[in-house]
Amino acid sequence: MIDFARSHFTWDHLPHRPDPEYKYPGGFVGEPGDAYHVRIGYDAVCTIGRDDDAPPLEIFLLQPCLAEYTIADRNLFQVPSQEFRVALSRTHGIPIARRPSTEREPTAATPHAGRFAGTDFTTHEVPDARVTRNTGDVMRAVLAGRRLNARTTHHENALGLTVTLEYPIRTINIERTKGAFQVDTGPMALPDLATWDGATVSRVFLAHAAFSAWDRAEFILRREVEPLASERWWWEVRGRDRRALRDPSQTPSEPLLPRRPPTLYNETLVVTVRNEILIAPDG
Amino acid sequence: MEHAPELPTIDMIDFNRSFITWTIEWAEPDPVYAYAGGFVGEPGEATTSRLQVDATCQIVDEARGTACTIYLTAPCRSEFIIAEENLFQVPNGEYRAAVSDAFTVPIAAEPSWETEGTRRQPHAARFAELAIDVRACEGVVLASDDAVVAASLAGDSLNARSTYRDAAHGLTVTVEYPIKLINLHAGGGRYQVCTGAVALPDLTTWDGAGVDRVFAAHAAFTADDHVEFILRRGIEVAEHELAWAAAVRGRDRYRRRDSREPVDRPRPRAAGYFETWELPAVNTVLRSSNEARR
Repeated sequence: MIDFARSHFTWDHLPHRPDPEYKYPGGFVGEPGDAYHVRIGYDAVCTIGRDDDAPPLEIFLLQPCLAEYTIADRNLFQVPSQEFRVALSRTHGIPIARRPSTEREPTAATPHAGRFAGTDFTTHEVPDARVTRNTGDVMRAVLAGRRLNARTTHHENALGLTVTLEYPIRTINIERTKGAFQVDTGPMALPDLATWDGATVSRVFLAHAAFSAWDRAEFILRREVEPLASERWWWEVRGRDRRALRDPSQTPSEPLLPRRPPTLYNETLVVTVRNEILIAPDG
Repeated sequence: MEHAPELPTIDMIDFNRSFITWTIEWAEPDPVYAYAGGFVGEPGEATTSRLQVDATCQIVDEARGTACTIYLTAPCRSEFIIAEENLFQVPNGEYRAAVSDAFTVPIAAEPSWETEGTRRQPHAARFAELAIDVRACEGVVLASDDAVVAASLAGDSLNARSTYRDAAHGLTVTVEYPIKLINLHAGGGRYQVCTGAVALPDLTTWDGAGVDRVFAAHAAFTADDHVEFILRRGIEVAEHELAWAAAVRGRDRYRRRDSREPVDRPRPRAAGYFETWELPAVNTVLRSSNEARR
């Protein structure tokens, strides 16, 4: 059972080199040569196991923050704001989908090498946790204030892959007279197996999961949505402009960074799975 | 890097082990909606929901000598409970609660300069029971930037406390929240916390005992005397997106018992963070050794 509160990823930036075009690349406002570390907690972990016993692929979904200028004295948040959230394997960053699963996106996994000076995954386990598929156990654990994780496993026969999601149960419902429960929690990263290339995926979906049975799960997926034209205040700049150019008279070599629209959860997937609940021993 | 001198131990909230648990007794069918509150069970059933605490907020009224603490829960997606299938409501929204000892406090959908006319609701109006179980662990106040950097690199669990004062209302607000993301410049002995969510009270609604609105926000700071918050608000969705964004799939949360009645389904809204508050504050970073829980 992963101890999510104590598990985190830390990356070491390469010493900063000024961008030839943008004043604040990546929101960086320090000095050339500064090298930052960023420590981010895990939200969920996905493991893709292969029937041929090749090493599994682990995908870590990290907790989000809002886009910022680092490390600044004032004007810490970028406005317009957007969520900063990362999904990554031990070797690659994996893009998070902006579109529904029915639409392909030109995404690719990006190797950490060359991007980071170092990476460190610190995963702590809860000692003496136990696994259950018994509703009574779950109800007693909820009422006793025990920490709970869910482990949801799905076998994709066509690809010979087994996807296992582990995520903390932050919200759960129980009904005592019927002896029923319903997990409704998230987020987690669902791999887009249509992009599996034998080693990795090139897209994950940000999703929440719900289940009330041991053999079935529902997922709801996030996607971007266009705001109403009258809501374009959303893209108004205040303070520093993340897109500011060193030389405003020069046209950047690539199109300006796009303004990201807000998101909604809409597409749902119903999947045959094996659900387990992990119970921490502490109250 | 060695740990810098630290202050004596104090309690810090163990958010991972802190929960709000409430029970709703569905005694009678709702007179209007078939699935009021997303409930799909039978009259007489009682559902108990347990939600992890994401952050806390304490308001102290110096003049009156009163205080109120608000607990922001972790979010989930709107659901039908307790169902065998079609668990998510579509169109779907976020479900998140802010509660005090006695009231549920509405979370703002608009910026702070717009009033919404919301009122806090007594728990008794909705819940048969509500329990607030906030656990503490032994924490240490980190007394320097170097100490924050060292504790972060050592993997310690960190909380932040940000205290700011509203002189106009004579109120002091202290928010406590886990630090989920922190940037470090080890060579320069600097850090930047950027994390959330937190709940900020709308102090214009303070009546001496509580508030009638809170804002969901994220917090950032790089020094012990200044904090910035960015507040969430609703965003209307473009008309051409409504074909999918407003389409009902499965059960209709707003289906009326009397099918002759018109359905008053709300238009789906997205959310974004826009308004910022930059405030003088006292920021404290607390570390837990990840042991000594109680």
